Amino acid sequence: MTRRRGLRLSVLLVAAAFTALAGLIGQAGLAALDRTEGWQARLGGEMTVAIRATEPAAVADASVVRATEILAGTEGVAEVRALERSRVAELLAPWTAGARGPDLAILPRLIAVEMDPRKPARRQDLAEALNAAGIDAVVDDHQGWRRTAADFRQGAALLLVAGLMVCATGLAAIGAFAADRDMSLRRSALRTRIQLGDTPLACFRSGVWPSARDLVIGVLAGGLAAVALGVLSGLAAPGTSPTGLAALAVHLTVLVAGASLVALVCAFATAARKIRELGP
Amino acid sequence: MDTLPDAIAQQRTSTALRLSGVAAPRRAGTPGLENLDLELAQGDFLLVHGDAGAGKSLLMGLAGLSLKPAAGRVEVLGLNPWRLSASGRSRLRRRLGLVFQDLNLIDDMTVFENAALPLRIAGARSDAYKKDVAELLDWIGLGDRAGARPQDLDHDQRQRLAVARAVAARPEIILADEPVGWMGPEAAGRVLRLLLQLNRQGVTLVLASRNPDLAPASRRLELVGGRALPEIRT
Repeated sequence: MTRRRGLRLSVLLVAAAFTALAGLIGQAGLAALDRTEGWQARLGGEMTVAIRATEPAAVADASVVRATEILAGTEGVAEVRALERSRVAELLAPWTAGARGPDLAILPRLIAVEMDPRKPARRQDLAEALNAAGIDAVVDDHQGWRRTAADFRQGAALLLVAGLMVCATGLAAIGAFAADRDMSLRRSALRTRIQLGDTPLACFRSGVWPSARDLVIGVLAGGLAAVALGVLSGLAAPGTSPTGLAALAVHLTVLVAGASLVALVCAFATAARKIRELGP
Repeated sequence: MDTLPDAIAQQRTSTALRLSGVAAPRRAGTPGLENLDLELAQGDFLLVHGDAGAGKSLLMGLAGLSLKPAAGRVEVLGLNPWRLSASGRSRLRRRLGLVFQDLNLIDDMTVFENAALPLRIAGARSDAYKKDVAELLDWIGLGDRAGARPQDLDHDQRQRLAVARAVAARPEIILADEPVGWMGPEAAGRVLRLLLQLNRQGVTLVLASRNPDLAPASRRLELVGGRALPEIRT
């Protein structure tokens, strides 16, 4: 009995740990995919026009005003926003080592151009319109950033699948181990029950039920722990809105159901094999 | 395959047990059984005796369906158990009362639960058998130990519990392997009286023992090295 209690507690804890790990991997992976998708959508719907810095700065300021007017009148453009110098400095800080004050004059001026999603303008359309007006500008359609985001998204998806597969394998092993050990410890009792006329199915149920219950409790506890850790660490950011909470609940349900299913299938398969081994 | 549950539960036949040309594989310390023929009518009382390793437990295992014969045919209560489905065989086993040589009590059940196990397996409700099992335990001298675990009993008491479990569900055949081997004379006499009384009520009784004078059986079969000597009928 003591050995069985020890075994059951270990199974419960290990199942909980694996599910919590799977839950954290799942939340981190989904958050990464979600955010990357947001970046890709945003990068794809916008272009950035850079006006080269000039001396005196008033020339560049005038170019920005003209460029903004031209871009706003170009077909396929929905909105045009010239960025404040301070905002440009903030965006370019990684490359300018935090230029401030008079140094801001050497920074290019940036214009964010939001495309009309129904019929977006092409990069060449914007570049030709600006060139025709004699404005020295570079149009960036964010191709490079979008490729980087796509690579990141693919990597995150691969890591998510690999992490979940490792956890599923772990849970499967725990399910098989729990059923195997529990039924081995009760082997003589099960054998006696069969000899007294208990059906293999009834022995199977009585043999696998304690392991199955422990696994489900462990998985449920692990799933809840994962969500709590996710919320505390900010991984489960969508949980702040009702829609996000619903999505979180769905993810948790899918996680717990999937993890339980994997563990239980292995526990059932192992228990069935052990029953067959009990003899005629 | 005979798989009809009702046929198994209700089949009545005058032959309780028939072994025809049965062989059992050798096990540690025993030479196995060879070409054994035996037929018991319902209500017969057979004492199987022989030295250790003669094959008594093999014969009990074959009759109790815990061993499959290597050759020959076994019939229990008119059915060939090895042609039944697993659940059909389970139903047939419920018509037998077994006392195993190594008792096979379940340590994580109480004395009461062990004794009531065949009834529970047969699907009886606990309130229907509670009183009968308590009376049986009283009669067999374990009434005050009903809540104890088998490991808390001495061997004599454990053996009495094994007998109580074998008779609790009113089986049609009782197969008892050394049922009183560890008991004192008083307890042994009490248990044998119970078994003989059940036999007089029509239960087929098969006892296996090293002691050829264990009980006044109407039929005696001696096993020597896995072979049966000519049977004695009285």
